[in-house]
Amino acid sequence: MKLSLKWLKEWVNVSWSSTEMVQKLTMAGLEVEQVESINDDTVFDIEITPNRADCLSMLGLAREVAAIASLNAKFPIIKAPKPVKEKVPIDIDKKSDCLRYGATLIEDVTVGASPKAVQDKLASFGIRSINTAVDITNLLMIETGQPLHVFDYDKIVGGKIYVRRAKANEKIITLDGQERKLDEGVLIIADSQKPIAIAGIMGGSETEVNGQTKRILLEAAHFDMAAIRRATRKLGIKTDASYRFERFVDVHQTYLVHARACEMLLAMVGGKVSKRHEVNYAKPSMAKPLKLTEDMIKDCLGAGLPMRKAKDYLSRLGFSVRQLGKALLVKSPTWRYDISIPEDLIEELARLVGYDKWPTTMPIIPTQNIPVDQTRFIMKDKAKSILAAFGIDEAITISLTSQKALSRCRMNGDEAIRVSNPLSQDGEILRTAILPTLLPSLVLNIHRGQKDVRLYEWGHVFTKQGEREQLLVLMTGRRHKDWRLSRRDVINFEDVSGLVMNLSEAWGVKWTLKAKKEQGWSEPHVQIFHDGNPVGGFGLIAKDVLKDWDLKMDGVWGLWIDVEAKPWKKPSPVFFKSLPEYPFTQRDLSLALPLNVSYEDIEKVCRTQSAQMLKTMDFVELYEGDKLPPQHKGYMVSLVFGSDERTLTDLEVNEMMNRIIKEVTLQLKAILR
Amino acid sequence: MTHQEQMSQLKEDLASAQGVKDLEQVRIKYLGKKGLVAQMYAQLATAENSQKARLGKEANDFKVAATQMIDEAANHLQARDEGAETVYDVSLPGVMMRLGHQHPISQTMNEIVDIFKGLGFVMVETPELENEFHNFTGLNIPIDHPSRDAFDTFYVEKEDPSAKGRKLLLRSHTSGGQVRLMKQFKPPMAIIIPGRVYRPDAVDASHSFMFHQLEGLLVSDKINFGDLKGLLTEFCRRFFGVDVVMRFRPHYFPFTEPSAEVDIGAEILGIGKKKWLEIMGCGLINPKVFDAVGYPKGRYQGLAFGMGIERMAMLKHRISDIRYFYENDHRFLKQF
Repeated sequence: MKLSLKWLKEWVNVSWSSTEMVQKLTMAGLEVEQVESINDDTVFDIEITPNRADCLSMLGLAREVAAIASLNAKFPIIKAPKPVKEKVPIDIDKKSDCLRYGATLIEDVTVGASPKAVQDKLASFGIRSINTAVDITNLLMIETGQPLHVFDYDKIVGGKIYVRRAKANEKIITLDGQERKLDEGVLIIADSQKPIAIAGIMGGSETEVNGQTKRILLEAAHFDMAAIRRATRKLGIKTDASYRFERFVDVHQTYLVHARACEMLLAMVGGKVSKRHEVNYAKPSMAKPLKLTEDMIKDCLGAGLPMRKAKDYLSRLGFSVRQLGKALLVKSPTWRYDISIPEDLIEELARLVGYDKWPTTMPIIPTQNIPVDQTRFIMKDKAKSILAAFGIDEAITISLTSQKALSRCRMNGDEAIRVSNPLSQDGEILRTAILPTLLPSLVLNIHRGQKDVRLYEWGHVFTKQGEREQLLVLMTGRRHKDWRLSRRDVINFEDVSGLVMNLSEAWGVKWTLKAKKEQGWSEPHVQIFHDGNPVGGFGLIAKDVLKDWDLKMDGVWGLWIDVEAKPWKKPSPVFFKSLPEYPFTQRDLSLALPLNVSYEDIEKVCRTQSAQMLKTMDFVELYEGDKLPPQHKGYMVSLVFGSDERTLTDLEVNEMMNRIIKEVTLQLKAILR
Repeated sequence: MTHQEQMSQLKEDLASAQGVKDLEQVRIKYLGKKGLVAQMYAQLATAENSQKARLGKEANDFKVAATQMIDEAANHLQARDEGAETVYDVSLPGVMMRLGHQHPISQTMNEIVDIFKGLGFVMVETPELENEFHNFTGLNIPIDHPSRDAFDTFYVEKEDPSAKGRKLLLRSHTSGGQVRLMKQFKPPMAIIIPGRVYRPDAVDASHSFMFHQLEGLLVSDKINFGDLKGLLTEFCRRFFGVDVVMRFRPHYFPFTEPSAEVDIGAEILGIGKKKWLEIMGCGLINPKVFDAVGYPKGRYQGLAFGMGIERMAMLKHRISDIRYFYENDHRFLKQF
């Protein structure tokens, strides 16, 4: 809403400079976004918050300035209209749609161009001058916040006004020349045949007032907020009038603006009032007075305010204030729909005094807070450190995606939650996994020339089990950039499984890994289990999936973990374990194994055969050369034996090794190398 | 040759040895399998018994002396080589570890979270898929109300189990978390709620339909406007620097009363255009919100605040376009 300084000065004798005006208005809650010079006027463009639709008028803004500046305002006095016997026929279909409809018929008018003063006033608000009649409706809308309309009465078939909802397929050509199709939701003004205006939004072109108009029907009405909102959305129209009706127009002021409009019209277009009618369904304002004390102000703002000062401020804003002992009884004016509790009044005082004038203190933060388990955040931090150490960058992608993206990842989108009002097809569903939204980032980097890409995202996904937190890692490219570290090596399976091991170790658990085929992934794809439950997986993204994403390459590894399943052990205090007193003995074990024997299998045998004395077992080397029998692979492992009670003798160790060798040979068909 | 003559020859040979290779030849000549010392020992076999002891001793003495001299010569050569100018290029790049970068949004979020944790707040996360009560009604934002415009929303095709006929939505602000937590817990509480929010705004350089917010909530027996100012002033000082210039400007939120927006003076960020930059909304919790969560009337007071993380990150790091955050181009991520 704009504030014209020239106009303001007609009512309030404010002496501030432009800069002061900006400062004072902004710091009272009326943020000035722009200052313009239009003709000889200074116009301030103010952002009005939704609770202060009363400031969508010069009167409202002038009241504010008067209160801020502690000045008296001289507002125009509105004379009560002369009574008229004949009534304008008005039919309002549904009371709740239109609580007030005032109409005056003025005959024998001469509509022409408005005087320069009026044109300039409108120009300050960026409103084009049309003619004397229309200009007055716009001028008064700006002045009071009450939208008005004028009809060419002779174009109203039947001479009767109907306020009703449109019928399906009814049409109207509005003032801007556009034909609009209406439906049963839209509130219209109609004559006996057809719609003549979209109520509260825009008039029809057929009944438009111009230089040929002989009889004018003036409308000052109040329309249901919700009906207007629905109509503006449906029809896609937004006008100064609809803007006000959607937010707030004071139904108790409508008749006053009606009277003033009549007065001004008669002065401008001449003629005589022949009919008038005011339909009123509005109940009188039942606003309860609010009680305000100095203690209440102190409790809220940290300091008190003398009651007489409070009375002064509130009175200037239009409140009726009565002193009741040490308290004030404050009754809100009809245009302050935003006031319902004492705190609303305290805010008024706070901003008029100035937010910076109240004390600034440090709150007492309670030592007792709500019990919230922080484990998840601790585990997230641990994981993030490991991911950073592995050279993986954190990514954030938009959580909305498309069916197309899901199917490109070979994921089923049937159960995905659909967005009712998406902005585009790319954001039509909530992602069920992070892969469809993170893969595009990987692709973007590759297409922009990055060969070694490592990204992870820790975010929410929306599955049929509900909203879940997930971690996804995608990696491709060389292991190392540096020639000294054999840069030809690319990220491979063991890098991903190593990362998995680091993560599980940091989370204090040991996961079980099982090979499992999965759509969209090549073999081997691994499923991760925690306490017997599947909590994630990793492997190579299938080459045909990459092709669907425009990548002519291979070697993109992925790892995902369902964080929501909490695949960790809650951290507990770490207690020191004594360092071993007696030295350990290390032995290597080199075996040729059938291809289906697993590391796990060997470990099981070693542990069972060493009666708790096997301290650690490490994987040393994998051999696949031709010194092996056919269909065999070679593993070398390092076994470390020890006891807490004594140094193990060579004999004991040899005995254990022999048992191990015997059992791996027997159970696993291993051959000692 | 006599022992004397052999020693002189050795000395000569050593003197003329230029480097390691030459020295090796000398070593082989004297101490090698077919070297002089070996020959001397071989001669012992064919010597007369009476000469054997003497010849043997001579061979031993010579072997010891020769070994010593050759070793010394070797040491000298090494010392000479080391003392000589071996040129090292210390500016040759080392083998760096490739470290992953945390996303600038996470970094900014962590910075802000740490400040509030340091002041005694505890962090909580609440769901992104929300219902109307938490996101609107409980916050004094009735359905079909004009103030809803500011919170244009993405609805989803899933029914709200707690409200028949109503759909769930993607939260348009983290403020709904206030309602959730106040329903679940009794004061006192000092909480921060970071997370993603969604608004169907047209996407441009400063708007994305998904972004991040951080909500703060402090509820106890006595909290007043001064506490709100003090707390957020402290935050701004810690985040922007002790010299930050700031102001609390009256504003409107349905769920706070009085409400304010916090502006910081643009100078501290070195940004020329505007004088004041809005960074967050705040206020004392509106008693109507306390009513909605079932707290006894007048029993508690509280403050709440919320800020957009993308905005904070863009201001602090002078990032020109919000869309960089979600592209995840490595050349962008590695800058932070």
